[in-house]
Amino acid sequence: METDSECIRASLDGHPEAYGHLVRRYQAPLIGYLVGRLRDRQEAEEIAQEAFVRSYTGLATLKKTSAFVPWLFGIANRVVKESRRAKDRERRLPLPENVPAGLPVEQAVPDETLQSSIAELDERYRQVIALRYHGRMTCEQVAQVLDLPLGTVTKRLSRAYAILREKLNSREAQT
Amino acid sequence: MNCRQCRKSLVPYLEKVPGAPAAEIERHLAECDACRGEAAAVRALRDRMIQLGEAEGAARSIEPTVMDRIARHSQQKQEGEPMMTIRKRLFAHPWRLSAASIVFAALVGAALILVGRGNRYAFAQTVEAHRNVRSVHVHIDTAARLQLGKDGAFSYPAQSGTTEVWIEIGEDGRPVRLRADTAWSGDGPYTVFWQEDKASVWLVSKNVFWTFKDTKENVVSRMPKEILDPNSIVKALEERLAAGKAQITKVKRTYESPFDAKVLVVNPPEPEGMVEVFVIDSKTKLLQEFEKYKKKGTELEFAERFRFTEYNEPIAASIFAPALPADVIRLDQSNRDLGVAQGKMTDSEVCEAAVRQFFECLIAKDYDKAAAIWPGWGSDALKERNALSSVGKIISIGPAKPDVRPSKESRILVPYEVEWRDGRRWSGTAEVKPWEGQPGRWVINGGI
Repeated sequence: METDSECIRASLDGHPEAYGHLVRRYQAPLIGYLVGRLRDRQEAEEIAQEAFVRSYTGLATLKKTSAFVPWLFGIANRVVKESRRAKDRERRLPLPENVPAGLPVEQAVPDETLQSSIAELDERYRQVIALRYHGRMTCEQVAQVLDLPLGTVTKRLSRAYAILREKLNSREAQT
Repeated sequence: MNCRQCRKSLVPYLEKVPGAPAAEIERHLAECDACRGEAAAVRALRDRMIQLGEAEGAARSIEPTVMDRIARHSQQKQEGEPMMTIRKRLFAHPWRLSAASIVFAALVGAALILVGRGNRYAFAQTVEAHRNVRSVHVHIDTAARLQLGKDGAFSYPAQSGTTEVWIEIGEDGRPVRLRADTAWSGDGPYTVFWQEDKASVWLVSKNVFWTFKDTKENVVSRMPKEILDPNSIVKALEERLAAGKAQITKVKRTYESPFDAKVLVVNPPEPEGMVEVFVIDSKTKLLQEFEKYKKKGTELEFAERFRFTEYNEPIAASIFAPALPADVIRLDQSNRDLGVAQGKMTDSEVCEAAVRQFFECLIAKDYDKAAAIWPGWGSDALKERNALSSVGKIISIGPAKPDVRPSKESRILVPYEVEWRDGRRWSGTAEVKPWEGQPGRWVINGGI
C-alpha cells in the first residue's frame, strides 16, 4: 500500500487518481470525526468532500507530506467554521428542501450518548478516536499518520477513555 | 508490577502495542480485582466505540463525488477560467473601487442612479426591458456550496458549484415551467422539473425519478428572486440607494467583453458587506450578469454570480422532457397528500404523530401509507429494509424537541424506541420537518 507521501507525490506529478487512495483511506475517520462534531451525517459528508477537494488544491503547499492527516483535519475544521458563518446568510435555491427528503439513507444514531460525549472531547483526543475507531487503524498507524510518537497516541487514548468514562457515568446516572 | 504501573500500561496492552508488558499485566490482573475491574471497564468502552465506529462507517463512499469535483477543478484550470480572469482583472486594484466610491458618493441622489460624471443610467429601462422576458437560461455560479440552500461563503472560486436553470415565464411574470440542474449536492447531481403543480426530482446517483405535488406558490417562494425576476434585483437596489445603504460606482472596463455593456458596482458603505456588480447590455438593457463579492476592508472575495443568457429564445422540448435511463426507478407521489396534516396540533404534537403513524403503518405492513409519511421512498424500498419491516411494537415516541443544529431550524427531533418482532429493541431520533410542497403538512426527513 502506498504511503501518504507517495500518494501526494504522485498526485502532484499529475496523477490525481493517486489522491483517490487518500480519500478512501481517510474518508471514514474524517466523516466520523465531523459527525461527532456536527451531529449531522449529511453535513459531515458535505464538509468532508469540501475538505478533501481543498486539500487536493493545496497539496503543493503541504510542507511535511507525512503530516497529511492533521493538515486535512485542520482544513475540515476551517470549513466547518465557514459553514457556520454561511448559515447566517442561508437562502433557498429551487426546491432544495424537498430533494433530500427520504432519499439519503440517514441512519438512526446508534449510541447518541457516546457520540455526544466524544464530541465534547478536546480536538487532539477526537482525532485519535476518529482514526482508531472510524478509520479502524491500529495505534501504530494512528501514530504514523498523525506524525506522533506511539507513546503519545496511547497516552491520548488512555486519557480519552478516562474522560469518556467519567462523562458517560455522569450522563447515564442522570437518566 | 503495581496497580499504578498496570493502569498506565493498560491501553497499550489492550491495543496490543509492541513493547507493552503483556505478561506482567496479565499476572497483575489475575491477582488484583480492582485492576481487573478497570480493564473490564476499558474493554467495555472500547467495544462500544468499535460498534459506534462500525455503525457510522457503514455509509457510502464520498470518493466518487470528491474525484469528480477534482476533475472538474482541473478542467477549469486548463480552460483558463475565463470568467474569473475577467473578474480578477476587474478587481486587480480594489483601492480604485474605494476611491471611486468616495468620488461618486456625492453624485448618488436619493432616487437617482448615476453612473459616472454626467453619464446617467436609469435602471427603469432595465426594469421595463425585463417585463417582456418570457424565457431565460440562468447560470448560477457559487464560490463553493457546502450545502444546497446556503449562500456560499468560501474562498475557492475554482471549486464553484454551478446550477443551471431554464425557465419559462408567463404574462403574470411568474414561472410556467422550469428545470434546475445542480451539479453538486451531497447525493451528487440532481435535476428538478416543475410544471402544472407537479415537481419531479431526478436524482442521478440513485437513479430515482420522484414526482410529487408542488404548487406554483411554493415554487415561487423557494426560488431565489434573482432567477425568477431579475427586476427584483434592481428594485432592491433602488430601495437600498434610497435608504443610503449603497453607493454606485462605474468601473472602467479593462477586459474584452462579448457584448457592449455597462458595468455598475454597488459598494456598501460598511467595511464589510456585499459588493454587487451589475452588467447590463447597452442595447437590450437586459441584465447579463449579476455578481456578489464579499467585501472585507479593501479585499473582495467572490461569492456568487448569476449569468442570464438566451433571453426569449425558445427552450428545446427536450429540456423539460429529458430522456431518462430505461431502468430509472419512477416514484410517483403526485396524486396524494404527503406527510401528516397539522390541523390544530402544535408543531411538537404533529411531529410525534408523524413518527407514531409511520411506525403504526410499518406494524400494519401498510408500506404505501408509510411511504407517504417519509416521502422519497417507495413502498417497496421501505419493505425491503429489514429494520423497518421487522418492527412489531412501539415502546415510546417523543418528547419532540427543536433541532438546534445549524441550518436545521425548521426541523424537530422526535426520539423513538420500538421493538422488533424478535424482541430486540431499537431506538433513535427521527427528524421531522414541514413539507414545503404542501403547507400545513409535516413529513419525516430522516433519522430512522
